[in-house]
Amino acid sequence: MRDDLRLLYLLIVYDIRKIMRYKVFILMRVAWFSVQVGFFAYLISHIVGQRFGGELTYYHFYLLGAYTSILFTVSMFRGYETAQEFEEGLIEYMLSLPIKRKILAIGRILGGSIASFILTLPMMLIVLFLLGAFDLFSILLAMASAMIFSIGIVSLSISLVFLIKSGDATDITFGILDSLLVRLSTVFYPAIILLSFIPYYYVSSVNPLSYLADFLRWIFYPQELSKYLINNPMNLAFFIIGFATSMLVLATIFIEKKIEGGGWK
Amino acid sequence: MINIRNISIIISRDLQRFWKYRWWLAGLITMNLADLFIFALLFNNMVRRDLIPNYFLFIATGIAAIASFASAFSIGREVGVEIRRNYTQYLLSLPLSRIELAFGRILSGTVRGLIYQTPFIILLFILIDLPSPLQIIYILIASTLLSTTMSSISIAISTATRNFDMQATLRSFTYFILFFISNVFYPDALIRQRFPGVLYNIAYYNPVSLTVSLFRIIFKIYATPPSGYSELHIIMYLAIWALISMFMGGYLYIRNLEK
Amino acid sequence: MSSGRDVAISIRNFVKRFGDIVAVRGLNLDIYDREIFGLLGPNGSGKSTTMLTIATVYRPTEGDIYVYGKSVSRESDEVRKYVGIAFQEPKAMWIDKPIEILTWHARVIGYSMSDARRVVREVMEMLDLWEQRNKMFSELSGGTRKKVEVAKVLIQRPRVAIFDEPTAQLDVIAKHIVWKAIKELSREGSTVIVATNEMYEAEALSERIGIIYKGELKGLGTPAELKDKIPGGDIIEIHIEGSLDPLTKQMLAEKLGAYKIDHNNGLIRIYVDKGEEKITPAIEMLSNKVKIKMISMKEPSLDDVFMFFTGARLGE
Repeated sequence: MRDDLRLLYLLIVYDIRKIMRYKVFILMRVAWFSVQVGFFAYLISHIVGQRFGGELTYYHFYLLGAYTSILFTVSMFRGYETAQEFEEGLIEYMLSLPIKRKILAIGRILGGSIASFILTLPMMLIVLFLLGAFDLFSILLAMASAMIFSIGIVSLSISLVFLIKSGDATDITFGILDSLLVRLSTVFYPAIILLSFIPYYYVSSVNPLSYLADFLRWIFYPQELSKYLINNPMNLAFFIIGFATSMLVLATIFIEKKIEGGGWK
Repeated sequence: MINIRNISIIISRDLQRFWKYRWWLAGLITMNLADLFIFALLFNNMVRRDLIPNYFLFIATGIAAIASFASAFSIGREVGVEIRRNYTQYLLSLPLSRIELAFGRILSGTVRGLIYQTPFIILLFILIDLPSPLQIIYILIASTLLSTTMSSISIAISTATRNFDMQATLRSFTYFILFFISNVFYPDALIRQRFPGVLYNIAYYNPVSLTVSLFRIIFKIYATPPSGYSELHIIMYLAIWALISMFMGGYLYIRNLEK
Repeated sequence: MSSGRDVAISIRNFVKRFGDIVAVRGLNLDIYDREIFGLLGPNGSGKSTTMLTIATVYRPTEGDIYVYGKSVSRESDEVRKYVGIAFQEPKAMWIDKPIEILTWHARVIGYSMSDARRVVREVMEMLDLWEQRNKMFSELSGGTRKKVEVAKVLIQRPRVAIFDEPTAQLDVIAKHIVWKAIKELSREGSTVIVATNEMYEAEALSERIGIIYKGELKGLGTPAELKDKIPGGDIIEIHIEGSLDPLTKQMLAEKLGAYKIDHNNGLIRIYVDKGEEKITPAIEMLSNKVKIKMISMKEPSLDDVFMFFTGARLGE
């Protein structure tokens, strides 16, 4: 058990160290996010007629959606990293190490999600600053929910790469997932807007991005945004936890029972 | 003396490769269509009608320009992979002049951009209206110039460093700057009103914005056309972009490969 | 296979398929405790697939492999406690430095941080890698990358050490350093498996050799045993003055039990089994008929052995 925890720690550190090497990458991502929220979001909020309660504008609504979207993309990117590890043969190396498959799966998923969370931390701070949200409890709750959400997405993305085992198919699956899941969620628009296209609404009502985006909105604006959420706050929280837990368990079982090296196309 | 045959051989090779990246293309098509048929359709219900009467069509013109921009940009990714795998040594050993090699690669990106964009332009014809023959020529010229510009810029970025991750980061940063600081999603008047000065000028002279403006003028769906925009005016700016970036991209490509 | 030695790895009816491609077809093989076993075969013969399955990287499609009694199919977590592998293609992030790669590897296989630093330094110095410890992996030459890969197993010192073409891309000096280190591992008690397509490497390192071709085991034994299995594998070469009459040639063939006798420009080549026992009778017969200038004997090379067992040449 002690040895398992030590290995878990080493795997998590491996993923964090890995992401920390891409300092320029992080810097660029932050710069790009700054342009997105400072320019794109600012301008787009001026063409939106939708008003929310109190002083809230679409800009406030969008900021937490934008953070959800970047956290999703960065967490999904762990899958691409895994695909790259397949191409470079690192997966085979990992599989040959004296580490239990279960520990390897959990370690890489937790490492990937912590790394994703750290990478998007500057973006979260930018959003909090722009919102003027400085309540410590709310910030910690937001961070915890982001971290849990990331565990679910990293589990999903790594499982997909192991399942697909193809660079090309990974590209298309991830490209389509990224394009559709972000747009078919409440990341950019409140649930009531989605109601005008019922199929879109149904997809967004089971889309984990909707749940994190709306849960974050509820954390910071429980009064003003409550009637614009896709579900009640308790259900939002349960959904995020349930999604992350089930994805983590499924990914671990899948990696433990099925995974092997080779066969990469 | 430039041998056209050599350039056409390079282009044909890159076009075959384009088809091999059909998965990547499928992802790109999905994203472009999702922007149009999900994002724009839903956003249409939120946008102030006094500013943009039909946001769906407004975005449709933007997406048509983004299409050529994105696919032309893809050539840079391949140049980057070639550098990473030292494949460039083989390219440099071929019996081609360096100029033929450089311009062949740039024009490959241009052709890719045009091929990918064509269905989106046809979609505009279906959704809005069929322009006059002269306007169709304007569209073709603008798209060619935009694709050449993007192809050259992406090649220049990809050869600037041997670090593949750095290349990808620089390319995506340039991509998003050109994407966000443009008039694809919001009218020029709003940019001028909210960000007068440098940012407005970047957005105004951004080749993506110039192409989008041309499309909006031709398809008459721009809410309030700004002064100073005319088809020829825009094409002239785009030609300057294409010429400068083509020579810069070609020069950097060869210089960095021969290092 | 009863040699009285303990079996470390037992491969039983092992089949591995990748889609429609059958990489290994019903392999049965025992590898003994503490031996150096050479797996010889051309690229694509199934040797890497077999080794990667022993290392639990692949799962058997049919059959099973037991490492010290533990099944790679059902007890892979246990098997990996015994096994360390140096892959054919070095496995590392290109952005990493050798010192980081090896220190992490040492930590993950159980060394404390201080021990990891010490062992990594020792092995890197032994392989002449220390000077290059802080270069990025992408900047290293092919040979240096290979040494980093081999270093992982030398640091690990596992009970079963697997080397997949350990000296490919290495210069002669580095090759001998690696061979010495592999033999040292075996002396310390590791069971070593070396996959190679180099005949001289298999012969230089291995106590026993398995010849694998198109996913099947074609030959197995010590290098001497394998050579002895070739009919007429020994060649007695006799340089004479003058020529050999057909009657003497026929008598010689009958007396020595030769498979074939060639005679050309004063050189007689006699193809026999156990050549060392046939030299004296050959001299006795010929000395009365012709003047003998020189006699020598050639054993078959492993190249000949491989050709005999597979009907193909390495590199096909």
